[in-house]
Amino acid sequence: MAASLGRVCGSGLLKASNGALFNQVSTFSTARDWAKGRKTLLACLGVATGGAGALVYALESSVKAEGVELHAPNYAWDFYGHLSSFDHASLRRGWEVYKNVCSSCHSLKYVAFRELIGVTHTEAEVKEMAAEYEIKDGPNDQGEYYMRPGKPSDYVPSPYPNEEAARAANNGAYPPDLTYIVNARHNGENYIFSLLTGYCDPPAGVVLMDGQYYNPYFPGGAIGMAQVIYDEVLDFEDGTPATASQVAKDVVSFLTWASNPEFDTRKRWFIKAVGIFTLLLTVTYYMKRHRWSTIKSRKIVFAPKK
Amino acid sequence: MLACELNPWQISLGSLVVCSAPEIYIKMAGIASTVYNVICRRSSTFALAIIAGTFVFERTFDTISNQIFDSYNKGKQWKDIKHKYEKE
Repeated sequence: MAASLGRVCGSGLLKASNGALFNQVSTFSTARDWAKGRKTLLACLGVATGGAGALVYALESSVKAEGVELHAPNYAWDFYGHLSSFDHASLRRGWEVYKNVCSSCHSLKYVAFRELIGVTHTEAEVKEMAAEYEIKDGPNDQGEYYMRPGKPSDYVPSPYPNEEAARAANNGAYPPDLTYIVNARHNGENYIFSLLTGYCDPPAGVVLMDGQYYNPYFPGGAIGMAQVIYDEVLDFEDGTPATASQVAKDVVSFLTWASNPEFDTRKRWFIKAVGIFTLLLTVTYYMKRHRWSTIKSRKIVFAPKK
Repeated sequence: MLACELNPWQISLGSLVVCSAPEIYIKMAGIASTVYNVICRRSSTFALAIIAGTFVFERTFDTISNQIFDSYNKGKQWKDIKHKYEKE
């Protein structure tokens, strides 16, 4: 400790009359020639401004109970951590959940089928899956639009042709596109998991309109989406028991991938970046020591003429 | 000159600049002087050594980093589960 302090501060700490430096600096201050009244005024102004700022900050941070909605707790997601990748078996189940449950109302229009290749499905599976959809294409050489089976290059078809149709079918509430929903919501994956699993009866005094449901995690509490995630809401292809929390966890993992498709690559690059920068830092430190060694090790001797 | 005499083991960074005078590099230790004579004296071999070194370093570095990532995430990645879904 003493050694490193000495390295940081040099021999300054050991000097007896270090305080003299401060006095020297103050003689160069531009405020030296000011009248006493001006100095006092400025000091008061400074204190008042600082005090007001501190007061505003204290008022801001002390009142936290203004909202009625619950804040989602942080769950221990298996993709949390500097090195952790997605669990791709979970992503695959998540796609099943999206396809069988969410996709009846929510679009996923910025995800193309081909993006699932090598993430949740093989190429053959994706081709087969895409072909189950009818995609509008055209115009053909007669100038007409026509329907054709989907290809891996197509984007996932939306349940409604436009926002107005979606609103009309859902009591005026618009089911948002799910592609970037995890990034678009505060505390994304935890919020969506809590929302999906957090439906309950409205507390006394909360009046819901027709077609509204109560969810304490939704801002305002009244949400247009009914509870859709139940135990055994679907059967997973890989035999995983489809409890409500398992279904919600898998679909949220999948949506996190949809929002951050570069996730695994990013984690891989984190290792490389840490490695290469450690190396560069070491080299830089060595070079610094090398360059400074002549200066650090020289001794200046005062030899008066005889 | 003086710096090189004091630190004859410094070949990697300073050798080209500092130790250019022949009487200095003769004094260098065995491996260092061999490396200097074979690689560093001609620009052609020096450039070649840098290119080859880069290639070897990058391959090694990438392999090690990827192995760390793959072993940390064993069983979670697509390549760990894809055999279940591939039909041949």
